[in-house]
Amino acid sequence: MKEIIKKIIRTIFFLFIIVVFFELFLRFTEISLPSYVYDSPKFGRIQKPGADYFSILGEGFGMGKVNKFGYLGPAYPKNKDKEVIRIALVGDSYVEGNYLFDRQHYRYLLEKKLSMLIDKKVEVLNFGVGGYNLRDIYINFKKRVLEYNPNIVIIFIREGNFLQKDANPGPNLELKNGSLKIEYKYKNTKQYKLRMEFQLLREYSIGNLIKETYEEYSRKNYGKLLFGKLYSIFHPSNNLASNNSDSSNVIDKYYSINKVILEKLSEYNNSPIKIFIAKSNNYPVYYDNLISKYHLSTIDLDSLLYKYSKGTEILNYWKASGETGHWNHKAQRIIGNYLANYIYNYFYKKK
Amino acid sequence: MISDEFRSVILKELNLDDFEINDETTADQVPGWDSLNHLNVILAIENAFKIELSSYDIIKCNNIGELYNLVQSKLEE
Amino acid sequence: MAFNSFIYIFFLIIVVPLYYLIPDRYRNIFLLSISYIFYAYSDVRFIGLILVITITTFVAGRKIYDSKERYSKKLYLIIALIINLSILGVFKYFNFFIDSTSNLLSVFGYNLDYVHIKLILPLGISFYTFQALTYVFDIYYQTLTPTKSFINFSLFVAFFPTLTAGPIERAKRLIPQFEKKTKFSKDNFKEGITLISMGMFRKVLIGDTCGRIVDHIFATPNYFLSIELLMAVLLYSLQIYNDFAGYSDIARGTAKLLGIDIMDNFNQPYFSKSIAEFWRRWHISLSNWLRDYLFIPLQLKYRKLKKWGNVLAISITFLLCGLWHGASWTFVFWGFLHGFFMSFSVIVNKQRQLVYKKFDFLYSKPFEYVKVFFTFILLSMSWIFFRANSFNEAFYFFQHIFIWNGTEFTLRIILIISVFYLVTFIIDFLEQHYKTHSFLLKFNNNFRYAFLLVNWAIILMYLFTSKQLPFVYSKF
Repeated sequence: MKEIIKKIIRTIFFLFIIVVFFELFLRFTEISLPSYVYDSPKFGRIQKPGADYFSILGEGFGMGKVNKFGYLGPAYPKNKDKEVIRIALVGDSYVEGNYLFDRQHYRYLLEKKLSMLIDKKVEVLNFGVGGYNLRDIYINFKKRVLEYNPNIVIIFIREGNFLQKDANPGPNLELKNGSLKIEYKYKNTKQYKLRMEFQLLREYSIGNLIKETYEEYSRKNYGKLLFGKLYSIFHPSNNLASNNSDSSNVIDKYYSINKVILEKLSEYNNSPIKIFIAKSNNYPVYYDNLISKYHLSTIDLDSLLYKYSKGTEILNYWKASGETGHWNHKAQRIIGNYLANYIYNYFYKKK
Repeated sequence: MISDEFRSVILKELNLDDFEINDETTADQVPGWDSLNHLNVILAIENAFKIELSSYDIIKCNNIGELYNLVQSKLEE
Repeated sequence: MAFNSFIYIFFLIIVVPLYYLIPDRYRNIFLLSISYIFYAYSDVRFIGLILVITITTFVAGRKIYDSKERYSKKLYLIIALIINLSILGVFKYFNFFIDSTSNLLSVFGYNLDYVHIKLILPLGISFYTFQALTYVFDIYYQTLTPTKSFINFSLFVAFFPTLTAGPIERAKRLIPQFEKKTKFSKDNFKEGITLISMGMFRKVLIGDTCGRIVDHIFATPNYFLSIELLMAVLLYSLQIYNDFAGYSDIARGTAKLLGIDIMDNFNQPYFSKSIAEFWRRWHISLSNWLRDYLFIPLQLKYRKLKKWGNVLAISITFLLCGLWHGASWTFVFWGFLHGFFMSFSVIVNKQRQLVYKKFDFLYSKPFEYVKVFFTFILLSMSWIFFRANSFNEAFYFFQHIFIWNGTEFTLRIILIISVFYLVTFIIDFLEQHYKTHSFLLKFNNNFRYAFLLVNWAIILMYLFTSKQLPFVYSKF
């Protein structure tokens, strides 16, 4: 009996040092870092101040660090000098760009080029968070971005952001008597409570790996992964119907909220803060109509990129991984340059 | 049974004073007799005994004893 | 079927027990069928190719043995060589040959309207053709007698653990094992599991993780700074080693589970004190093959040239070694570099001995570390040509690596590189110290079980959540 207990204690001891070894190994080689996002009571899923990130499993390779204020790029404090031109970028993963180094991101390129053009200090703040839909972006804009006193705000709204469901538990917008209210009902959901219980796991590399395995498992998409070609033989993929139904004929369920969001953004049309919508070129026509109706200023980056590439180069193609998706290095340069020139021409060029 | 003369030719070429080699010894068991030096050892043997061996016969040898027999058979010709 | 996949794990779980449950006399046929299924899973089109190689080599072996005259022995050997190498040549080098010839001709103003055959490289072809050729070579050099059983010989050519990327075994080591009765042995099973576990650790947790960083930086090096380029180069040295050593461990471990012993392919190669020593410790099965069937015959043929005969044999061997790895001039140049380093040490050998005699400290232990470090630098720089897709890309690295511009992540990058090197070093050190790749078996049982448990938990989770990279050598 004593022997068995000794064996168990020894095994547990060995398990402990081996787990510590793997934890340190995964952490320092950044194979799996502790999560750089967390669930904040105020915003739901948001970046953790001071956290390192290392993104390599996706399209590009990016290393970075969330600054001490919780957004990306240099840590500019909320108060700003009068002489400084401050631009805020808001949006989803197309703005966050964690698959890039900051110096490859249009945030950096815009900042650099514009300061050269107008000979003033320019601060560009990256408030992008991956997975955000338009409602999250709007909440982010109202509750966080504005606190940093930007002169210019560029809100990146991709076509998918309109219809997107909520990816993670977080505050939501409710429409009450034509005005938007932020509700925090998510705090009472079972899903949120589960996340809170496992919040500690995400502080550790191995814990984060477990969490990602669980998430991958719950997506139930692992047939091909486990069974390889055999799976394809027994489950020939049916033409996966696109999740987005033909939106030109269907008023989506978020339309009423999205409409009010656009209306609220138009209230800044004559304010000291200038708002631009960086749009993609495939909006449902009724959103384009709303944008005209509310006289919102837009910048069409997709059309710009298409025009630049003349259809020959694919500016969301990543050579390393062979995947297509977000704007690649070259696209970032084009966009950074374009935005700098655009803003310069809009505000500062002597007519 | 390799002769002393044969043994000393090999050892001298490899700069070995005192190393046991016998019939069953293979090249990789002898310090310094690597693939680069192989050529030098063969040349040394050919020069010492004033013979010329064929590459095919050399490669066929599996150990020093067989190499010695090859040399002997060449000498008898 | 890649070793680092769930399907392979399921494959083993089914195949290994079945192998022992089947009566002994059917086991080889079973393994042969399983090997063909294994190959068909990856690519069913080229099963015919393996059959052709198998049949021609088997018949040639018989003919070589039965011939009385050396002349006809040689003839059959050459026929076998021509058939095998032509098949390899066409699939692997046809487009390369056409491109290079056309480029050369265009220098002289000739424009060749050439045909580019869309050829896919059959999986493992460089390996199993070479493995099959050991049979005819050894019969020719009279160190092996032909196998009576065509089944056993076919199994030798198509044996699935070594089919994809070696180790390139010898007929005289492998075929006798198929002719023996195999009984389930607990020791073999433990060793097999241990080897597979270490192999997976190397491949999944070091090879692939370094590989992703390397792939991203080599794809678009102009978007990266010199510290990151340096990281790519240093991590590539680790990637290619751990990827291939990991693969070889899994291959050996799988064979061990089936009671078959496969040769070691790596012997802590980065501990080498010279390039010559490196080639005794790296991809041992290939360098032994080249040594026994190419280098030694060439060297003996040119021995009248003395050290220049060595140099000539070295140069030819290493150029072909480079070419074997891939149909590209960068691979050939990599081979050339190694040939150059080896030739250089042969040419200055006498002078080097004199210098050593004069300066005692050159024999000291600290200087051995200097030699290891210097050898590693040469190796890493050569690997740049091995990895780069073009000479321009390789030169870009050389131009930009030595400009020091640190970034805010310099410390993180140094840490990443250091920890990967430290862990690889620990594994290699333990391998060397215990003189075996399955050094885990020498550890306390409880420790070993704990390690295997955590190792597999993390590897499986990682396999589940990330897209796996193919084995580097499966592309050769």
